[in-house]
Amino acid sequence: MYDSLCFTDFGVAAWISKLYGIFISKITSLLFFLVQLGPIPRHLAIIMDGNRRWAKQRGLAPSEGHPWGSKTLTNALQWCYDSGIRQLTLFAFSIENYKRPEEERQRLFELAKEKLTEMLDSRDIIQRYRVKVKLVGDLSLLPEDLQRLMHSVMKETAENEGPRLNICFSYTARDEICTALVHMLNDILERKLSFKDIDASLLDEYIARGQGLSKECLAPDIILRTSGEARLSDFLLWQSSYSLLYFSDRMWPDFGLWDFLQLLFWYQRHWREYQQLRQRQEHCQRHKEGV
Amino acid sequence: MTLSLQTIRRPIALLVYYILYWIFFTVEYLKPLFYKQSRMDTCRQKEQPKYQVKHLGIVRNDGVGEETSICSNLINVILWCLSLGIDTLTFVDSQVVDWSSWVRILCRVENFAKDSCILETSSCSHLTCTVENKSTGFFVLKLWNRNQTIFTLNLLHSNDAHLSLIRGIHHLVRTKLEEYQMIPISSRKKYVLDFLNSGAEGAMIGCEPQLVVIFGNIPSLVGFPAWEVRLSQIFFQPSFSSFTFRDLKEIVHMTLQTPKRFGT
Repeated sequence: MYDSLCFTDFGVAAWISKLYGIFISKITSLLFFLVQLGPIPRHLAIIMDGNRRWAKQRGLAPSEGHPWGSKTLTNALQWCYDSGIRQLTLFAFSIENYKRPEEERQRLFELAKEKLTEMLDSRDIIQRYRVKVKLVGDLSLLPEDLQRLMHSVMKETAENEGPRLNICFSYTARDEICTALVHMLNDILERKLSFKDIDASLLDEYIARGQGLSKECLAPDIILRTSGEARLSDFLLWQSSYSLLYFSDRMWPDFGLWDFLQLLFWYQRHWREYQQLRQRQEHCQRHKEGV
Repeated sequence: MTLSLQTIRRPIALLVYYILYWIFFTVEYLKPLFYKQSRMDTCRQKEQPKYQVKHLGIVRNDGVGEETSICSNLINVILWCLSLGIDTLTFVDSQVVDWSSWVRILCRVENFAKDSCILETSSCSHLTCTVENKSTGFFVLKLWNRNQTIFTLNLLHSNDAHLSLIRGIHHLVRTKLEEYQMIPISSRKKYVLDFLNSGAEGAMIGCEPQLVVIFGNIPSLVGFPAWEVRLSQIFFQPSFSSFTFRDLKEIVHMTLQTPKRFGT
């Protein structure tokens, strides 16, 4: 009798849990349907900051925060694609992060390998949504096995026609710009280009070419940074000149659906003024060119 | 007239959407009340800052304003900067197309002599102001006191976000291409990086501001030189005309208190 009672309790708990999951899923779908009644950003860039501080606040080792951040990332990818965002750029690992202790770096690389291996799994969100993945940065600085895995993921998802995911790994914006400039200067020396051809549009092309992206993929509509820090920290400096900046006080592992919806409604609130500002800027540009 | 389910659904969806929109708007509206409190708490900290803010960046996105009034506010900001030890200000205005009329107002040395608490009255007669039009409307005003630069004001447009770096690249190509050609291929990236970091021999604004204040409802760096904003602390303020010395002091203090990890 005792055994049958336990079985019944377990069945009821599982049944309630399943119902709750379905309820949350329906509410989430409804919320994403509603938010898409307003303008949705085409391209969102995220600086996932605060993993180590989050871990310290909970008495964990700083490097313990990164796996939790990875879970938030999985959720964030789902939210982005469900809400209609077509391109996502993540700042995963900076060239400056090589200064961190060896143990933490190795842990981050291991986490990256786990995440990339998951991406090759057909059940993973990347395959479900047919996401095209691009790794952006100076990948030659990374361990060889990680580089091979990265190239596998890019090759595997190259034909996907769904949303795009750009992961900035071993990346800084200045390094990206200088790499593009070196190619440009080499072309000038080889007389493929002249000095008069150099303008912002040309640099756009060289940066995009260097990262294997198309020129249209570059500029994010929003740069989101978590943990309360209000800096770009050498992320997409060239591309973010005209982007909206959103600094959230939440640590990245704590960034939830409410915060994500807050971000989208915030964008919708600023969207009209932002479009007007872009039009004024284009008008100024045309005026200067006319002069 | 029969109503279809689709006809009923859309208005209801829009109603729920606007309710949600206003809920999130209210939450965001109330947040600054708590943010201002925490900013004041930060300012009460007694820790001695390890470095000083020397370069301030300002981006003005708060709409059209009367030129004389904005110039007057800008002069006040310059005087406040001098009192806080800030010797460079980079000012980007998303509305201004031509800085020439502004420069004529800003260049008058008597504007800076009006506050004797900041500049000693006896040295006012030695104040001079020089203007340099770098190219395509990028102006640099320098305030001199007895042959020493005491303040530099960079005036840029909203296009200068990219044009600033392009000017640096043009200067590199015009003047350093032969030297660049001699450098080993493996060192070329570092050469370009160092050249641009140093300010491209005056073609760019030269140094990175420790903090950038964005005024207006549009939280964007519209126009601020892209290269130089790498590690700048960014703050948002509602309006340039209502910006006070106390606000600037609080912001500078917060910048000094913020830990600078830079990847570590």
